[in-house]
Amino acid sequence: MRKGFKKFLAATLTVAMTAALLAGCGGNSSDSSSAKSDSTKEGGIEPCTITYYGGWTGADLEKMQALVDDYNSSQDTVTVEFTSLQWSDIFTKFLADYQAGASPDVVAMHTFEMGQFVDMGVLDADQVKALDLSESDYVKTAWDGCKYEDTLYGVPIDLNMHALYYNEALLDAAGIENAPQTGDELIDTAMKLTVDANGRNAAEEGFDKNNIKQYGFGFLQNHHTFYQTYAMMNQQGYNPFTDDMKEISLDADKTSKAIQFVEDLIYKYNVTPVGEKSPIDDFKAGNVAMIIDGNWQLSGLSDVSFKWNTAEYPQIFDEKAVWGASELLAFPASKNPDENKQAAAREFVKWLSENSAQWALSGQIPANVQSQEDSEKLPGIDAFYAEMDYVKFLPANPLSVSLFSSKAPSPILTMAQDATLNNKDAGEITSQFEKDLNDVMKNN
Amino acid sequence: MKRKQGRVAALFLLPYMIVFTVFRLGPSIAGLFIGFMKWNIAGIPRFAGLENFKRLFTDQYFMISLWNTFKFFILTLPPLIIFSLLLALLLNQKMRFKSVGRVVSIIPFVLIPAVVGIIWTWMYDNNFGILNYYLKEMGQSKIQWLTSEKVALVSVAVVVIWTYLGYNMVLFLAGLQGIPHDLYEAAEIDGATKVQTFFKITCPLLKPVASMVITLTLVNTVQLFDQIYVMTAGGPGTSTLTMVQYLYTTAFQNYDLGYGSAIEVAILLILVVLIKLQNSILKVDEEA
Repeated sequence: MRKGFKKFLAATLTVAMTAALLAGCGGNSSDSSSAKSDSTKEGGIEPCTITYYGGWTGADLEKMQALVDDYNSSQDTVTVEFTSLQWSDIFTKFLADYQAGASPDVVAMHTFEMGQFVDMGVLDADQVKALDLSESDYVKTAWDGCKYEDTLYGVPIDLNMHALYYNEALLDAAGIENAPQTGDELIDTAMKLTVDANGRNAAEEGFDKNNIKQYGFGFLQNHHTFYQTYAMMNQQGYNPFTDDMKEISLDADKTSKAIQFVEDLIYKYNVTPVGEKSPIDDFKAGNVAMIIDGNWQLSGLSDVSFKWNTAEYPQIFDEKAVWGASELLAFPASKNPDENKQAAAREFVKWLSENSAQWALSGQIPANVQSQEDSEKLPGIDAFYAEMDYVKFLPANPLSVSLFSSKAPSPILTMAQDATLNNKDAGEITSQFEKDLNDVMKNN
Repeated sequence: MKRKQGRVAALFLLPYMIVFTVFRLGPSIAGLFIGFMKWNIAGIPRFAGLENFKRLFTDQYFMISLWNTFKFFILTLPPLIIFSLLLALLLNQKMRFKSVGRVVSIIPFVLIPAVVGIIWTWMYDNNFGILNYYLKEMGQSKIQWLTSEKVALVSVAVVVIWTYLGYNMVLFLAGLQGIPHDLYEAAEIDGATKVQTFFKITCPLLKPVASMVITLTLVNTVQLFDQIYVMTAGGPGTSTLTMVQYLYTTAFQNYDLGYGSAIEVAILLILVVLIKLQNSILKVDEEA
């Protein structure tokens, strides 16, 4: 009897656990279109549910989710199911879904990532063409960023770029009237604002660089250091990176000068902490007086206790230039195209583009000109707006994700960290950087 | 009777076997075949012969990741075995609060690895982290825990040792408690010292458990991903780039599944060789 009960228990548990497992693995087709199935057609579109993938997290995610919710409640025909993971994860999901014949209907990405997806053949330019957009409705840089080989593959939704954030209270206390605008001013200001435990600044005799209490200047010492180097290369009128490059030969002089400037801030002038992990947190804590960061940080500064402001990225060399990027919405190609869903996706993207004023609350600059004018401007956004004419994007080369990867092994990460963490010779860094870039292009 | 017991056991194992086959064994076997392909997930796989495997021998990043994995293994395996055994021996003694000690030891292992990585990243922060704060208070210089190419791998190894120490301790403790107590009593009567008892009784009888612990530790350290990904993502430069990190970047960021699978095969072969080596060393000792 006991043995028989044991067998029965084992069998029951096995069936229950296996069933639970299979239920968990089942597709979660939460098709909420049934809620709208009784509605009449709108603009020739039958009621349906479309899927939209994005890579936002944190505060950005909340703002985009709010926009999607607004769209869903503004009409009765189309339901948008929005999924957002970290960028690299959402792209893996997108490609896996494409392979399975279940492409999302809309996918967001950055302009420099677009080239690889075009090269893979997973984006549909015809859908963008069907929208019949007007170039004059969008910021030119963002519009051009959505093109690959002269074909428009996406609808730009925003721009972001670097600028200078500064603690006005600390500048006032140090008797500095204006934020620095040139390289010399940046060094001078940063030195006055770098203070040791004895109260001496970096420009004074007896300054103790091993006992710094407050730094004058901070920046992310990862791939964002490359973005600054990229800006400074462009400030020298030099940009070797193109959409169709298959190999590269760097101007050693101009590249080295850009790298050297970054290194000197840390190791010569001692105004930047080595290995800074989170400049924005250091800035908010009052430990660093000025930082370089993007407009995506603006929405997180509303509760900071001190007076702060932003200024345009300093012009270190001959011209004005700053690194930037744009996010766009693209239409994935589909193995089983559904015309109704494609029409619904186009309607949604058009709505999002024209109603992206709210997106500005995340600190992003809407790429749609009208949305820009309608948007509430966050404190500090003006400096970023002022940079729109000279912002420089990375190219949409099919290998851009590998060349400009934020994760090791990455040529730009090695370059950035050799400069900021290892203080290697700028000329040697340039040579190694060129070799690493060419190795990636050769092996792919 | 035994057949019936076997059937009952098989029924209990069935759910796990289904999960293992579908989510681990199946993809692993598929990965072996994908290693012979050129495939970027989206397109149609193209047969590439041995191209991906040949590339392993000329890829500087693969060589770097291989060397880093070896260094990481050397940094973590001996401490994880020795310190966990010592901890198990300590917590196997008759003493107060040993239950508390056992529970506290296992806590790091049950924390989510990504959370562990984040917490330690903040502790390791160069300028505002707690470790450098106390070093400064003691009059010492700051250490660039995660931003120095010389130190980063060691810093990550410390976190991994801290994480897995308790887990290994539990396994060793189970082994120690399986050793018949009368053997120790007999040894005591015969006048054996503690050291003699440890080497002549404890070690030989603990060998099967030790072999299992070493194998599990070996596999866990070679395949470690979460903590490294969160703390350094393979940097600074490539100083903490392990083979698994490189596999991830290759397959899921660069979408080169074929080459990623070739790296997977290399990891598998290295693990098989190391486990074989470990087993043959232990068998040689037994024969001696």
